[in-house]
Amino acid sequence: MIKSWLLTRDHKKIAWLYLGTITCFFAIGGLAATLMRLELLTPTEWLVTSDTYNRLFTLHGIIMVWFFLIPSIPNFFGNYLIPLMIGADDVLFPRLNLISWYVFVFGGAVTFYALLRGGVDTGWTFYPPYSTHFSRSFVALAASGVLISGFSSIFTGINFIVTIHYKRAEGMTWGRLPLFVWTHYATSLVMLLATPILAAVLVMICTERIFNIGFFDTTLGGDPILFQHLFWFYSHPAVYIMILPGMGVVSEIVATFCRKPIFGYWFVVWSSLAIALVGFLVWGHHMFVSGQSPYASLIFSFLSMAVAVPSAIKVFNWLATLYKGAISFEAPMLYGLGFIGLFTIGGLTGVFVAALGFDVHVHDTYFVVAHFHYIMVGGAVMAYMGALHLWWPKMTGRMYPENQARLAAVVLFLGFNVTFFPQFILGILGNPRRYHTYPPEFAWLHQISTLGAVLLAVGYIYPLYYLSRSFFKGEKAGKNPWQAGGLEWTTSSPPPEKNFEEPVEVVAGPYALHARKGISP
Amino acid sequence: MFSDLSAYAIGFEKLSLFLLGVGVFFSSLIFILMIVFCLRYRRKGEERGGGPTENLRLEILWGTVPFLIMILIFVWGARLYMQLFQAEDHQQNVSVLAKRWMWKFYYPGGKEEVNRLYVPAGETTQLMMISQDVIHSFFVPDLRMKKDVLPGRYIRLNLHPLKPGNYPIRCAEYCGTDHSQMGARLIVLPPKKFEEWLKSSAQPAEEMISGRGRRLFEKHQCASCHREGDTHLGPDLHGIFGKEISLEGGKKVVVDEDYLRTSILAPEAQIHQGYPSAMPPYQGQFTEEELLSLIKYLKEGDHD
Repeated sequence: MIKSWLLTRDHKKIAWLYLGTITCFFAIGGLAATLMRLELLTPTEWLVTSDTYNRLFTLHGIIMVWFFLIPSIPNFFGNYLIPLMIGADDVLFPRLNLISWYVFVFGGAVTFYALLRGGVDTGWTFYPPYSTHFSRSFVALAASGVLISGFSSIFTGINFIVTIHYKRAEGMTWGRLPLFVWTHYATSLVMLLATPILAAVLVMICTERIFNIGFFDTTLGGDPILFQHLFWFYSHPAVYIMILPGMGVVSEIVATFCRKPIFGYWFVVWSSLAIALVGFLVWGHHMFVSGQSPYASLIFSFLSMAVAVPSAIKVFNWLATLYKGAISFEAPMLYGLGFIGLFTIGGLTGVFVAALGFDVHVHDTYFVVAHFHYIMVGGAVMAYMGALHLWWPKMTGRMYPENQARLAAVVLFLGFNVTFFPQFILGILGNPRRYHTYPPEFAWLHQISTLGAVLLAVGYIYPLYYLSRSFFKGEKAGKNPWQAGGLEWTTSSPPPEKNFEEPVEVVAGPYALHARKGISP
Repeated sequence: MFSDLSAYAIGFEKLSLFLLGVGVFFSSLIFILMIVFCLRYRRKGEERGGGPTENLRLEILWGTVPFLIMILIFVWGARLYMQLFQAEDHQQNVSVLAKRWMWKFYYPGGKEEVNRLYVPAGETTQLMMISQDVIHSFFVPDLRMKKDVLPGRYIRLNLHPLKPGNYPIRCAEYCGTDHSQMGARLIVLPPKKFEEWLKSSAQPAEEMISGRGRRLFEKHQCASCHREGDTHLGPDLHGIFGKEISLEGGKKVVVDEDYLRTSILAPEAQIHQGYPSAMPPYQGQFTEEELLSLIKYLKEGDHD
């Protein structure tokens, strides 16, 4: 039994392995966040020391970015669904897929070991010279863990790209690919092209830290700004690794619960590719006050504005899909609508911080913290939760309890806003991020935020309870409980080992009910 | 909540109001449409959704309108930002040394302060900032501006506060254990009071920063090569600050703090024309404060 799981080459089982792993990491990262929010209840130290607090936010960042958000939707849902959605029996390289999981677990274990040994206190951004010469924590070990897990991203990226190219069923043309597959195609390109830069920069950090070879140290002829350029050349596109798959999920959710195709299919497709491409050219907006040339800042500011256009196009196309839809409000749809709202706020505040004169004040304050949590939690995690509910019946063969799930979605939405909206105000008022203590006049906003975090925690723990329960006791789901289009809904729930009993031939576009020849869902 | 402490702050508030307007407009538009559609097109039975699935005109509309607004935001934000880089005549020049976890301020004339930056109201003070260890960021929320302070090079920032008062300074770049405690105060005084403050209770010349610079200059026997009058080993450094000199290779530079700093730490990088490349590099032999004291000494002479 255990052997059949650990040696499996079935993309669905590998996806489940990922789900188990990333859920553990999410719990660890969430625990760190909870402790931070509790500490911030008072303006002065009461629960943890500064050094512990610094390790907590570093842990939260490293775990949530590299061991939850980046693998979350692609490695679990992407793995599970891409072959099903394109009518394939598996990914093109099933062994590589399994290796990718092992590499990920190994990288995670190394990082986790660094955390157990005493943690890292550099922030997830590893800025030198702090990370190279000043930090007395396990920087090299944690960086190695991240480096290793990066290979998992690269393997997965390659696997998805070739799978989408070569494993599409008869009749599954590019124009019939579900938007979920398109966004994963764009994401995979970013994973493949950006992750090597992260690997390089982490090796440079470790080399300078251990062997004192100068890349970033000015006394050795280096420049700390070089690190920031290299780091953000990966880490900004990484934001799109996190959000693009979420956009794919939301497209599927909206189409499913409006019972119609997504409005402006090709515009949504091209906007994904445009985001992936232009996303490579905006990294300097993390450095407007770093001392980079003001002319470079001008260009990065302009391009950052430009990348907001395809995002806006997506939002308007989802809205247009709602128009004359046949809309129902099951839990996944609530998450989908939540995503659209929160992503709108995250995106608009993203335009604000891309405006140079505005960023000079809010840079490195809670405003930025609030902005990117609206994108990553309000966006990516909301989409993740929506995906979990949408495809739960497909993956387990059982329904989750609808009313409990709706309640959880509402609690999560409220909890999220109560947690993060006050942080916009904190940022405008001048509370820098990564502050263990803060001026007492900010206390009430921090307290509201902590209160929201409690709700947020409930919103995460509750689904864990009812989903695991429904795994064993839920109502049988049938092939297509949502009456959705898409090939994954034409096979049994859960799908058999090779996904489809009969050969697949596609005869219509992605959101048509009868897209598969001879078989109605 | 609104700050009118400087022209920049006022510009920031105007831009913020505009951004808030744009944000409220677009988010209301999207939320209202979402709610209206959700109520209007609620599924009643088992019907499928209908309606159009594409419309080129709409796509062009909602692609270009946001784009045009973003160009406006870009230009507005960029114009405000470029104010920070304008060469301004400054009346005061204060050297700032950031180190974990304090700010030190050095005034012309030799006064020093820890965690208290005194500046005159209505005048421009130029800060010349450097970090002794990791990256810090000099952040004055009421001025709506911040600038990273880096190790290894001087970063300049002009302050032009309009009103006297006492305002917080915070470190905005994570710098370790006591990052959140690395605060200081910006104390803006009326110009007359500032003058009085600047002249008051100066330390003995020997203790002042340029005096320390002179002692270093003597201790390291800089004058054995950099002699007054004609010498072929190194240029005479008295009064060299602010002058334009020719380098080997013909390039011309003005002798400023950055040139002096580089020339002490890695002299071979920029050799004064007509002199041999004979000076050893002093990289790693001086603290930032010592470098600052040497530069102050060369710039201002000794204050006795």
